[in-house]
Amino acid sequence: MTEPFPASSGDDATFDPTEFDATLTRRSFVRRNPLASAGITILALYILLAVFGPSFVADPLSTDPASAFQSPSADHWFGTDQFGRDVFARAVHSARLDLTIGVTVALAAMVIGSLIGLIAGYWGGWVDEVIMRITDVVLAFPGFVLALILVAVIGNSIPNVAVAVTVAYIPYFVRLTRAEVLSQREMEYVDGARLAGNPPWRTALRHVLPNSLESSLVQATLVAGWSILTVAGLAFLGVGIRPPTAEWGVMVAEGAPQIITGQWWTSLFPGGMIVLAVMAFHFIGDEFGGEGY
Amino acid sequence: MLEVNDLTIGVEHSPLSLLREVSFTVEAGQIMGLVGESGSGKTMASLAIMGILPPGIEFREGSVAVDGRALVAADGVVRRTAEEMAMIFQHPRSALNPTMRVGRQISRVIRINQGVPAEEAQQRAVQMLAHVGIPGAQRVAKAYPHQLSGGMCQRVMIAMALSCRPKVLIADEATTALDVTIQAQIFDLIRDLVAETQAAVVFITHDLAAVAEMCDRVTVMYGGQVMETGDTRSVLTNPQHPYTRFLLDAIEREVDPRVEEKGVNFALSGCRFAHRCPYAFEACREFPPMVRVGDSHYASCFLHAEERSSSVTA
Repeated sequence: MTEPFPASSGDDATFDPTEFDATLTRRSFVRRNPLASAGITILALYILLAVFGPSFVADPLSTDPASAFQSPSADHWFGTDQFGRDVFARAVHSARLDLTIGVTVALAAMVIGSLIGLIAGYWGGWVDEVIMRITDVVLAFPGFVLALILVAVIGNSIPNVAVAVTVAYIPYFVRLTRAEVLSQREMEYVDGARLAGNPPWRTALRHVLPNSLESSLVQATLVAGWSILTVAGLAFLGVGIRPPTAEWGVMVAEGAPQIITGQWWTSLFPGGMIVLAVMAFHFIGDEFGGEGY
Repeated sequence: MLEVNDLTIGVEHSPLSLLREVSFTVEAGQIMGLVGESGSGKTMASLAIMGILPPGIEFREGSVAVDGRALVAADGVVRRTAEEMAMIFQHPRSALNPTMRVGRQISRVIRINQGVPAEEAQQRAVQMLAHVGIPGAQRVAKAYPHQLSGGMCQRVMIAMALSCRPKVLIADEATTALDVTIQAQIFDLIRDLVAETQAAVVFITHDLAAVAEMCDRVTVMYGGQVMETGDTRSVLTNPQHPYTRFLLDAIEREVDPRVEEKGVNFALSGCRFAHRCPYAFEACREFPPMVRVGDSHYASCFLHAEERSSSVTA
C-alpha cells in the first residue's frame, strides 16, 4: 500500500504557486474552450478578409460576358457567374457588408433591448406590463417573418434591412435583461447603492445593468450570426438587399438556378461563407454561454 | 441618539402588522443588540429605520429620529443621509457590486454625500480601508469583490458604512456569514470604531453569545413585538418576559414542550406570544404595555402589570 501523502523527494517536489498559476493560464484557454477558439480564429480570418480583402480583389460589379460561367481556376478562384463577374471578388466584398450588418445589428439590438429590459425589470408595475406585452406580441412572429414584413413596409435599402432585423431581435434582449434585472435588483448591493444616496436612474444604470448583461452578451454573439443569416435569407427571397450588390444572400439567390445546369460554384462558395460565419459566431456563443443557450 | 417610537408597519391592504409599536433608544457610542428568531421582525425593523421597506409593505405609524431630527416622519417619507445613518449588510459579498472596484464603491459613497472631488474621495476611501485593518489598502482598493475573502469583503462593507462617519450604524447579522475567528475580528473592529466615532449601533443578530460579548443593551423581539429591553447583563441573567426565558433556555436545555409544539401563530390583536405562552391568561388578548421591571429594564407582559386585569395600562 502506498503512502497517502508521500514525503517530498528533494527540491523538485516543492510547490511554487506562481509557477503553477503560469502553467495553468498558459495552456488553459484553448484547451478549455476548443470550440470558442475555433470560432474566434475563423472570425478573425473573416475580419481580416472584410477589412483588407476588398482592396486586393477585382471590382465585384465589373461584368465580362465573354468569360461567363468559368469554373474555379487560378485566375478566378471561385469561378465566374452568368455575367462574368468574379465570384471570389464578390464574396470578399460581401464579407465586409454582411459582417458589418451582423455586428451592428447585434450591438444595436443589445443596447436598445437591454435598456428597455432594464426599465421593465427595475421599475416593474404597469411599465413592466406594457413593455412585456409589446415584447410578447413582437416575439409571437418568428424573427425572420417580422423582418420580412418590416422590410416590405419600410423599403429594402441596406440601412432599412439592418433596422428591420434589429427590431426583430430586440425582444430577445428585453426578456433576457429583464429576467436578470429582476434577480439582481433584490441583491443587497442594490439596497446599498440606494442607501448611499444614488438616484434610481444611477442605481439602475451603474449598478444593476452591468451585472445583468452577461446573458445578453452571449446572446449578442448568437444574434450576430442569426442576423447574417436573416439578411442573406431576405436577399435570397428577393425582399432584402437587391442585386447587383455583392451580398452573400444575393449571390446564392442568383446562383441557385444554375446548380442544375452544372455551375455549382456560383452559389456554393457564398453559401459556404454564410455557413462558416454563422458557425463561428455560434461556436463562441455556445462555449461562453455554457448550458442553457 | 437614535430614537424609535411606536414603529408600526404592515402589509398593504391587510390588517396584518409586521411590527407593532416597536420602540427603543440607542445612545451615542452604545451598541444595542436586537435579537429574536427568524421572522421576528428584526430585519423589517432595520429596513423601516433605514426607510427602504420593500414594495407591498407600508409604514403605518411611529417615528424614527436621529439627534432629535425625524428621519421617517408620520407620513412615511424618508429624509436621511449617509452622514446620519449607514448599514452593514448580512452577506458581505452580495452587498458589494461585483462589477465595480471596491475602492471606487467607497469613494462614490463619499462623493455622493459630501460632494468632494474624485481624487480626494479616492484617497479617503484608501484611508478608510487601511483604517478597518486591511493590509495593502492601496492594492485592495483596486480589487473587485470576487478577489477578496468574505472577511475582507465585510471589512470593505464596514469601511463603506463608516466612510461618512454616520451617527447611527445598523449591522444586520453582520457576522452571521463569517466563520468564528473572523467574527471575533469583526467584533473587535466594530467595538473599536464605535468607541472612536461614538456612533449609535443597532446590532441585529440571533446569536445570543454575540450579544453577550458585544452589546451594552439588548432588545428581544417576537412576531414583530418588542418583548423585553434592557441592559444586556440584566436581560440575559434575569429575564423577566416568558419569551426571553424560553429563548435562553433553548440554548442549553429543553424548552417547555407546551411552547415548542405550537408553531408560530398569533392573533392580530393581543400579545404576539400569547398563543405559545404557558402563562397566558385572559388579559393577554389585549396588547400588553411596557412595564418597568428593573433599572432601565422593561418587559412587555401583563405578568408584570400592577393589576392583572384586562384593562390596558398604556
